[in-house]
Amino acid sequence: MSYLKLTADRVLGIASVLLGIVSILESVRLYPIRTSPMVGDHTLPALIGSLLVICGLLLAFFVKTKAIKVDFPDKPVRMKMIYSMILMFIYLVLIQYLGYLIATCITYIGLFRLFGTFKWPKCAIMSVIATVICYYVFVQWLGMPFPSGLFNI
Amino acid sequence: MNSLSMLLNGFGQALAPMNLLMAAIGTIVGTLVGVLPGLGTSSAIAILLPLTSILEPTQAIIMLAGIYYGAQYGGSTTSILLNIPGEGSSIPTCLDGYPMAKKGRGGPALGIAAIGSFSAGCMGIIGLVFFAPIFAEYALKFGPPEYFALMLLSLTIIVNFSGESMIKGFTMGFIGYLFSMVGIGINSGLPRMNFGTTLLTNGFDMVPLIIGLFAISEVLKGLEEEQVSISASQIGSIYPSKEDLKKSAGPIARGGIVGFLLGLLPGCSPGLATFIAYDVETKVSKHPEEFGQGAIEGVAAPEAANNANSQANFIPLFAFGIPGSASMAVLLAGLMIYGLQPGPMLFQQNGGFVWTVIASMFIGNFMLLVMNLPLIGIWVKITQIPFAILGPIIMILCVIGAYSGRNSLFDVFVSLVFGVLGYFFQKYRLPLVPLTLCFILGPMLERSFLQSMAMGKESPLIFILRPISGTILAITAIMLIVAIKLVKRTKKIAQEVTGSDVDITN
Repeated sequence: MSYLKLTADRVLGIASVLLGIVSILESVRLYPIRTSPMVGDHTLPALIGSLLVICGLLLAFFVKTKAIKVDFPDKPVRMKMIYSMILMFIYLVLIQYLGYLIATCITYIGLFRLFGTFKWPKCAIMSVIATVICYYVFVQWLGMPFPSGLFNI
Repeated sequence: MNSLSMLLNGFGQALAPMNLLMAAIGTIVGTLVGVLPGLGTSSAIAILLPLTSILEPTQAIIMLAGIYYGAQYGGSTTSILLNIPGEGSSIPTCLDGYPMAKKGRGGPALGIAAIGSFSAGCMGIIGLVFFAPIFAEYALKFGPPEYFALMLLSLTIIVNFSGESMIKGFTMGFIGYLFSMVGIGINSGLPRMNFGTTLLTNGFDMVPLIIGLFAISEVLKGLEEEQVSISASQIGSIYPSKEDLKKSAGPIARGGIVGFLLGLLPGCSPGLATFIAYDVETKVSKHPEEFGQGAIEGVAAPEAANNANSQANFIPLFAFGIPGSASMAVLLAGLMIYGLQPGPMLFQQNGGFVWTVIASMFIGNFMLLVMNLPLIGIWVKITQIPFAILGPIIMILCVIGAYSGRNSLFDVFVSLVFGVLGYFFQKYRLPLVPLTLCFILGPMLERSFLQSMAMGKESPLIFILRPISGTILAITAIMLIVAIKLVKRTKKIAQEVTGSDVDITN
C-alpha cells in the first residue's frame, strides 16, 4: 500500500492552518486580559497562529514536494500494532478500576501474546514475573502512588 | 589559586569512604535510569529525594548529582543500541549512534560516547572550578532580550533538522510551540488553550511527549519490522579504533566547549546544548552528508556537549539558584531541604560543601568511565533480550515514566497519543526534532519575549539596541542564511554522491 507524499503534505498543511486558526481565536479571547497590546498571554498565540496559517497554506497549496512511497506493513502485522495500542488505551481505563497490579498483569499478558505469539500459559508466567518486579521496584521501593482500584491492591 | 586550594580540600572530603559510596550509588542508579527508556532523571532524583533525608547534606547531594550526570551517560546506551533516547538530551545521539549500531559499530559508538562524556565532563568541571567565581559577574548582564535572542539562534537548528523541506520543519516547530502554550498563561496565570477542560489546564508535560514521540513510536516500529534483537555481532568491539579516536577528538573538544558555554547560562538545559553541538559539527564537517548515516562525530559531539553542559549547569544552580533543567530544579529542592541557600553567598558560607560536591564530580566521572566501558556488556545484555519480551516491558516502563512526572494518567494518555502520532510522523518523514525542540524552548522563549517587550516599552528595538542581544541576532541572521545554503549544498552533494534523494537528517 502506498500514499503520495503530496497528500500527506496537504493533510499537514490543512491541519496546520486549522491549528493556526484555533491559536488566533484563543489569542482574541485572551486579548482583553492583556497587560498591554504587545505584552500578554495573547501575544505568542497570535504570532505562532499566524505563522502556522502561513506555513500551512504554503505547504497545502503552493509548495511542491516530491512524492515518496510509504509502505505500511501487511495486514497481520498491522493488526498487531493496532491491537497493541488499543490494549494500552484499555490499560489506562483498567488501571483506574482494577488497580496497578491487576491491570498491569492483564496488559502484560496481552502484550506478550501480541508481540511474541507465545502460548497463553507462558504469557501468564512472564506477565506475573514482570508485574511483580515492576510492583516491588516502583510501588513498594520507590513509593510511586499508582491507583489501587476498587480492590485496593 | 584560591579555587584550586579549595578544590584540593574538597577532594580530601570527597575521598571519604561514605562520600565515595554515595558517588558510586548515584552514578550506577543514574546510568540505569539513563539506560532504561521511560525513566527520567528528574523522576529518579525526585523519587530518591526522600531517601536522602537519612544522609548528611554532602552525601545526599553527591548521590543526587551522580544520578544527574550518570543518566547522561546511560541515555547514550539506549540511544545508540535501540534508537530510544533515555533522556531528551540523548536525541541527537540517536541520529548517528543508531545507524552505527545497525552497521555493526555499536561498540565503538558506545566507547566514544563514554570517552567523550568523560573528557568533556572533566573539561566542564575544570571550567566550573575556574569560571564559577567569574561567572557571577558577567551572567548578571544576560537579561530577557539576550535569552530571547539565544532562543532564536536555536531556531536555525531547525533548518538542519527539517529534512527535505524547510517549510515542513518550521511547521512542525511551530506546532511544537503551540503545544507548549497549552496550560497556564505565563503572564496572567490564567488557563490558556485548555478549551474549558481541567485536564489541559496543567498543559502538556515534556517527558510524556518525548516518551511518546521517541520511545512508544519506536516500539511500534520494532513491532512493524518484526525486530528480533540487536545481536552481539552487530555491536562489535566496545573499544574504538585509533581512527575513531582521531576523528572524534575535534568533535569532543568542540562539543565540550559548546556544552560548557551554554551550561553557564541559567536555564540552558543539556537538551539544547546537544542539539547546538550536533548542528555545529554538521557545519564544520568536511562530510556533512555523512551525518545521520552513522558518522562517529555525530555521537562524539552531542555526548561531549551533554556532559560538559550537565557539569556547567551547576554554576548557575550554585551561583544563582537557577536550574538548567527539570532535574536541576529537583536538585535545587534538595539543597533547600538541607537549608543550603543557593546564591553568591553559598560559596562564602558553605564553601566546603560546594567544593566537595565539585570534587566528587571528578571522581564520579571517572567511575562512570570505568563502569561504562567494561560494563557495557551488561548494559548490552539488557538489549539482547528478545524484542517480543523487551517490547512489552518498554511499553509498560513508558507508561510508568509518563505517569511518574505528575502522577497523572492524562500524561500517560498523552504519551500514547504522541506515540501513534510519532509513528506516522516518521512514516511520512515529518521531522520530529523541530517539534520537540520548539516544545522545550516554547516557555522560555515566551517568557523572555514578554519580559523584553515589557522592558522595552513594547518596542522590539530593544533586541537590537542591547549590544549582546543585537550581536546574537546578527549571528542568528548570518547563521540562518548559511544554514539554508549549506543544507541545499549538502543535499545536492548527497544526491550527486549517492545518485538518489538521501534524507540527510535521518
